[in-house]
Amino acid sequence: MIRFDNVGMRYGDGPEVLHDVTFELESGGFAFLTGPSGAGKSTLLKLVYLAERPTRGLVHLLGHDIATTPRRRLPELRRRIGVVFQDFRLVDHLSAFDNVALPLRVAGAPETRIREEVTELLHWVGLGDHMDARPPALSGGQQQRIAIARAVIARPKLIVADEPTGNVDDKMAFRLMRLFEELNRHGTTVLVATHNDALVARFGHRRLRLEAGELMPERSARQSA
Amino acid sequence: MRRPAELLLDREGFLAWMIGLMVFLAALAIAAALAADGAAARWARSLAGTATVQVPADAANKLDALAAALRGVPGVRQARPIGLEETRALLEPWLGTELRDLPLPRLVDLELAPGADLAAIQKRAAEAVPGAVLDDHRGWADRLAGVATAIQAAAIVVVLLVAAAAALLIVFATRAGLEAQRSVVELLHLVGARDGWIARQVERQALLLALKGGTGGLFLAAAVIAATLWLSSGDRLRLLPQFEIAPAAWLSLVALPAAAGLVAMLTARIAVLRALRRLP
Repeated sequence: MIRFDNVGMRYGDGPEVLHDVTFELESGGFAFLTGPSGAGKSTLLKLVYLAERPTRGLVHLLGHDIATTPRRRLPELRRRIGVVFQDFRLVDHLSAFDNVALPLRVAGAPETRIREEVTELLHWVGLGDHMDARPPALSGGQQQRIAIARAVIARPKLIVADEPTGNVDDKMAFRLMRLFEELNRHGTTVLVATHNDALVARFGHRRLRLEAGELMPERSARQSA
Repeated sequence: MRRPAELLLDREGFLAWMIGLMVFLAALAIAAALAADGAAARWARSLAGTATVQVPADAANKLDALAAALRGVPGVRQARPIGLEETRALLEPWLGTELRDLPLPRLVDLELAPGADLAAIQKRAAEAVPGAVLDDHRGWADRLAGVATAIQAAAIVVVLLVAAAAALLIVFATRAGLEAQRSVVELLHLVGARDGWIARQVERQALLLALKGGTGGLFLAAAVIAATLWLSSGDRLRLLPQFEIAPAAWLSLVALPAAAGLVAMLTARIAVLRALRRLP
């Protein structure tokens, strides 16, 4: 599903922010990506959700070598990846419904299917009564659930979440992780970047730890805790 | 209910207003150019085909005979002797009424067919009345043609400048609108939208905004132009020269919002594709 071989990454002429990162996350796997601020977690995730290409090394994603995949093929790959951004990246002028519907509309899904699936998912994340609300009118937790609903609406093969529990209380964080586990049980590969060591320990999945751009030798989450 | 577009190019309505204003200015400039063109053509028409034969004051009694002789020259459609009172009336604004006894040269007004032989007319006039002189108004016509050409050239330069300014402003306003929506463009890119799909969203909006603003600007300009035409017709406002715009020329004004739409659409498309090309 995801394979990094000696991946290095720098922005422009700046210093390298990832050095020789090598790991593999198999299809149907669940892993946490941890590390202090500035360790390179977001950069690594950007490489996974195809917002950046590596400066060096090989990134294999969903069976494709990203370095040799033509740019015109990347949109198809992106549609198989659901992303929960750290800042949610909701579109303020669109309703909760239209925000969640974005990946389906981009993929050209018929409106009848969009209406049915988005309505069902918004009810499932507890926002059935807020379908017409604009994001600025919703709480942080509600916005986060819209972001998650948008990430999963197109039934992606891979979900990438960047600090998805950063803006919610412990109870909501626990519920979100349960949601990811549920999706994972249905075969979706999940990669979650988080600062929250307690959460990592509680859920006991594989843990990838980045420090100063380098991936540390792996231990299980419970060992790390 | 119509759902909102994913990308809002003009949240504040600024772009539509600016395009409307530029279309308004461009329409006025084009109308001025068309009116100048029409006036030049009218001047040329009014001077073409006319001439005057001037006779010394002491030959006034030969005026009718001269007119009859000139009617026989090929190319002369009409020869009308101008009576003494009419001649005095023509000069009255300059000479006043005090000098009514002043001997005045007399005139025969000619209406000529295109290509009339002026040399033959002059020859026949001199035979009929020694000292008669043909004035074909060429000096006036040449000067008026020069003035009209200068006005037309100035109007064309103004139209081109306004059109260029309008196009540049549309380009900048569209790019500013896109810049404000950069995060949404990036989001659409990351959820798997193809460049063409995003560009279509943006260019459709740019086209609709430009058509909306441009149509408003055109209507406003049409009202101003119609008011000017009305005021310049008849004796309503003697200070204004008479303006006329041919009905077919109005069509070029109607095309302005479409032209603005096209510029906005192409700018938006090029700008968004260029921005997307920077993304992997």
